[in-house]
Amino acid sequence: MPIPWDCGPTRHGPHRRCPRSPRPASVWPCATASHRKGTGLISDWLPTAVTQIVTTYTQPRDHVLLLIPLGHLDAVAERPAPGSNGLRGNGAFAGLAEAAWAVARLGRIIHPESNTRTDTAAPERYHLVITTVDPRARRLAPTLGWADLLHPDGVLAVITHSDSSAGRLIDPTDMVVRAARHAGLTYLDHIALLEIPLHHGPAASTTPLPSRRNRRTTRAIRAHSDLLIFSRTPGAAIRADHKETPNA
Amino acid sequence: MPEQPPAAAWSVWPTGQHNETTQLHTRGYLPATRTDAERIPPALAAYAINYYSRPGDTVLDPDCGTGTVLVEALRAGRHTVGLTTSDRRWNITRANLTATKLIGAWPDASVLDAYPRMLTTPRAAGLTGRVDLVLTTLRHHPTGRADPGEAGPGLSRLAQTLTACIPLLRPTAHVIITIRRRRSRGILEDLPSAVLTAGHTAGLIPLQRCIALTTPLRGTLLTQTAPHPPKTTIPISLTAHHDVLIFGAPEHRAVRRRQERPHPRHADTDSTADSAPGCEWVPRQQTSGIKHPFHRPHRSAAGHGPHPAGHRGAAGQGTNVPQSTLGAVRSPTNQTRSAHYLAAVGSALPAPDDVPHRRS
Repeated sequence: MPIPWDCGPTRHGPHRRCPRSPRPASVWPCATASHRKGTGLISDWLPTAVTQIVTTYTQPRDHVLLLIPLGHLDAVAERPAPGSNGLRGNGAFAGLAEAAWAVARLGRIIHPESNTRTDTAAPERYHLVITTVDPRARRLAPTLGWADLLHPDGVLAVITHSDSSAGRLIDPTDMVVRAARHAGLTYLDHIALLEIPLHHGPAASTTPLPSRRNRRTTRAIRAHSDLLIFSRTPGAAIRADHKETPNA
Repeated sequence: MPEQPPAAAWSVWPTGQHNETTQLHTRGYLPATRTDAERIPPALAAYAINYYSRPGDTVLDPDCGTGTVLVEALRAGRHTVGLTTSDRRWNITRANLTATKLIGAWPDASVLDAYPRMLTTPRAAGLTGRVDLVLTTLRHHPTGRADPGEAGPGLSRLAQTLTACIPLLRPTAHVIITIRRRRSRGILEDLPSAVLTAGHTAGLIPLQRCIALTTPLRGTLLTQTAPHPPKTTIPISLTAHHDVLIFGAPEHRAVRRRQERPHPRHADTDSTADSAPGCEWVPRQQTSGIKHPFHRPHRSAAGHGPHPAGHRGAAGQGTNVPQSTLGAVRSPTNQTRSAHYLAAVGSALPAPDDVPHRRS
């Protein structure tokens, strides 16, 4: 039976950080067996992931900033101008703007903005900033002042995933973690977001095992994305220094 | 009995249906296997072996701990070799292998008391180009003797090990590294990225990043309990998976090996020793008088305690070793026959498939 995690030092009062939600696992099943109705732009697992991020790291009436990839602010997949910022206009995170409705229904104050905004004059502080990083991006969006956007106890949640190009792995995790550290943030957690329904394990494909010679060309099917959690407060991380519960 | 390989692999490996205690118990491991806290879970090892190798292939764990990779490879019908420098873990691994052989596993299996850098010496020529899968884990607290030439524990040790494994790989081989999450003062260490860098530096080709679940699935949900939730302002997740990085062998090795070293099996029709430069393979019928190639260098020929240096390293119990040697784990002085396993394994393992035949 899941146990609610304990209250630590709070931000706005003694009950500020004492939700009844259980302590999260490092793997979140986000896909559902049945597809949801909508515009069809957003992956069915992404609203669930955003909702779970919001409910885990914020409380009602908190301010949540949703940094939407370029071209998706109007829920229309548009390709960016070549060489604008290196981000693609579509992909696994297309239709992210639709998740704003789910966040608003949870009682949070949602601020959907483009992740290419450059105005840094007196930015508002948010309790949670959610953004995405395309694995094929050569560099991150210019809103790298993540620390300036966060409340002192705020959380930055970056959704990304690995990819491959010419048979080689492209993993943006290192780039994101380095950028966040450069911005003064603390790498707090890594959570796997499952994009496929789990019924006692991912469904087995009927693809035959490749032969020895062309085994290199066959890749495992990507079934998860990565959620990277950063905090502006080093103290929160230090207090989190505990022995991981072994699964044995 | 060899298990059926899965039809296709996903980036999420459902390897946590049973906790590790149950896995070790049901698969016949010794209770002492649990003393290796950084072991690869048996289900994870079995999943990786079944998909990334085929029956008859060779699986290597250069830092095998208590031998879960070796046992699962044996159960899956793969030949396997493991290295460790811990006397206690060497004994545990050998006992696990013996128990697995007793239930009918037929392939060759060997656990060597040697440093991973031994793989770069000519003494490991019997394995050169024959390993199809390297499956190991990033160990933060390595045990056993410290290698004098070792840069340090953790990532440095793993980087040296990967470099040592490169000459042993087939061109189509895979290198799989599992990583347990670790925190330093509450900050999560980005170990997968560091391992990716280490593998890239060693010359491996990064292919994919996967996760292996350590938590049971109940329908579409994961079950996880938190007996001792930490006092944090921001919730910290419970570990429910291991990171898995998959590398490929360097592509240039296929060309280089064709030019430099034809395999001795196909070199001569009369099975004599190969004279190709750089190859010190010893033919099977000439192994009876040689010294074990992986003896520990700091021990004298007189041996250390009851184990002579030349008879300490291997636990070869394969098709070319009579079943009577299976009891050697309880009687170390009976290891004479198995001591020459690695030299003889060159004739027992399948030949590299990219080396052209040379007819004289």
